[in-house]
Amino acid sequence: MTRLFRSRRACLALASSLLAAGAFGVTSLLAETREPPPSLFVRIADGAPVPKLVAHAARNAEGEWTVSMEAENFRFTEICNAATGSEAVGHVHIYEGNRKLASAFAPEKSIGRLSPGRHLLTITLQATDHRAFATRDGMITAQLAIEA
Amino acid sequence: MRKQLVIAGLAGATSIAMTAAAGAHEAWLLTPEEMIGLASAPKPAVFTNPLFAAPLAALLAGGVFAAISLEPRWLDLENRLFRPLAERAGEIGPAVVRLGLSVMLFTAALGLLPAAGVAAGTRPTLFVPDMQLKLFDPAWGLLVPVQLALAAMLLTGLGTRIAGLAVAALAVFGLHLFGETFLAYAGHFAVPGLYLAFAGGGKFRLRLPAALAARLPAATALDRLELTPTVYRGLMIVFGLNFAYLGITYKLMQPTLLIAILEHGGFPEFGVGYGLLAFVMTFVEISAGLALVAGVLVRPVGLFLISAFTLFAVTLGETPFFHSNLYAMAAVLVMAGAGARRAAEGRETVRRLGAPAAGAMVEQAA
Repeated sequence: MTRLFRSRRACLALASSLLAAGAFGVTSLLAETREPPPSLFVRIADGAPVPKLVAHAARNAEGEWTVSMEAENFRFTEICNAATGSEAVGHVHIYEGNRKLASAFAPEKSIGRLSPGRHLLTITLQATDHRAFATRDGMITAQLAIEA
Repeated sequence: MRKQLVIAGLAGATSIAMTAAAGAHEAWLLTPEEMIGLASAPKPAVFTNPLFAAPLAALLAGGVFAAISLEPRWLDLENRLFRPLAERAGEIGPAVVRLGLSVMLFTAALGLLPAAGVAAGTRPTLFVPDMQLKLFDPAWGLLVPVQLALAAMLLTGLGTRIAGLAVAALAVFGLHLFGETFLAYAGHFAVPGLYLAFAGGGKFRLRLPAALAARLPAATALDRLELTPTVYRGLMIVFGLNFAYLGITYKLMQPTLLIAILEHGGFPEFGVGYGLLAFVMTFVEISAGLALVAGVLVRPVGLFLISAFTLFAVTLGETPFFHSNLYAMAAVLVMAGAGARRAAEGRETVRRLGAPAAGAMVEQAA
């Protein structure tokens, strides 16, 4: 009985270890070396039009700043749901350093007053499910320097 | 035995099949600058080159083989050492799980453990920091009071079985609301919820005032539920399956994400580099999940999970509350071990012999 139990145990151990090792082997054979993690990024397919973003900023009479964005191959939408289709659709996130200033669901967004000095903003393109758009070479972003 | 092999095989196959889409597990820690770097980071060669991956995977697989094969040699000693805990698992286990789940529900409902860049208390979520309810129809804001009510029920132990069932239902509903992304979390909330539905409130629960209790039915249909060995075994399978899925989807398939999280927290490299470290961590997590599915190495896996969460919390500056549900279920595994299977064997022995089997009853406390 003991011998039988041990051999059964050995079978189970063999199956478990082969299963785990097999998963790694298969993955290493299939792996792409430059593929952004799909849980965080929506990869623009090779050959598909790559979205581009240019941003400007203007201050109004009350001293509040508005960021205007011109997007190419990208459409703004207010909808937040699962990303579907091949078209790049979504919104942008506006950051200063690691601080998120705003989400913009349209090409213009007021970010309010800024403290005096230079502010370097980073604008990122996000899909409707909040993952970021990326190509094989990295995220699609625009930089904007504001002298407040 | 054949059944175990089939279950383990199915678990692995299902996990691999489910890796097509995934959400941002623990990506809530990353800052925008880290995200930008992550988007263009190449995967380490150890994950992409079979010449590196195969020998290392074979070596680690040898370790798994040895651990599972040798477990019977220390199992008796382990059972003796953990007997005091196993005897109390039926009472303390539910209390720990109630506390763990109530912390997750309470903090998520009020947005108290927010993702990076989100102010605390501004974005209610479902169970975890990155499942924001704001993304949906305002009507789903109703889930905030629902989660708070469930947290209160679990904390007090009033209506534990109903609350447990509701948590499990909410975990399934999360799949409907967030889609495949929620697969990363569903099992890890459904399992403790169902555990409570079957095990009841355990120790440290409040009693209703006599006047109020008299107006309510003495027992509901749910009170007839029992944490049988089969149920416990089923819960362990789902729990393990969820870990195997997480390991494959988030670590094996997206190693740069794990490395970015390790770099974010300044996790020690142990002189081997993050690539190799991520490889080993991934292998261990997947193996631990498969071990639970197979019902072996249960206590070592439970202890490993508690140690791993604690190490991550300390080094990444993450609050342990992020994983309260997992801490709680891992604690149950440590207390009860693979008790259910032994309890089942014990029950048959009792029936056959017509006498109580002390060891079996201890394990039955699971």
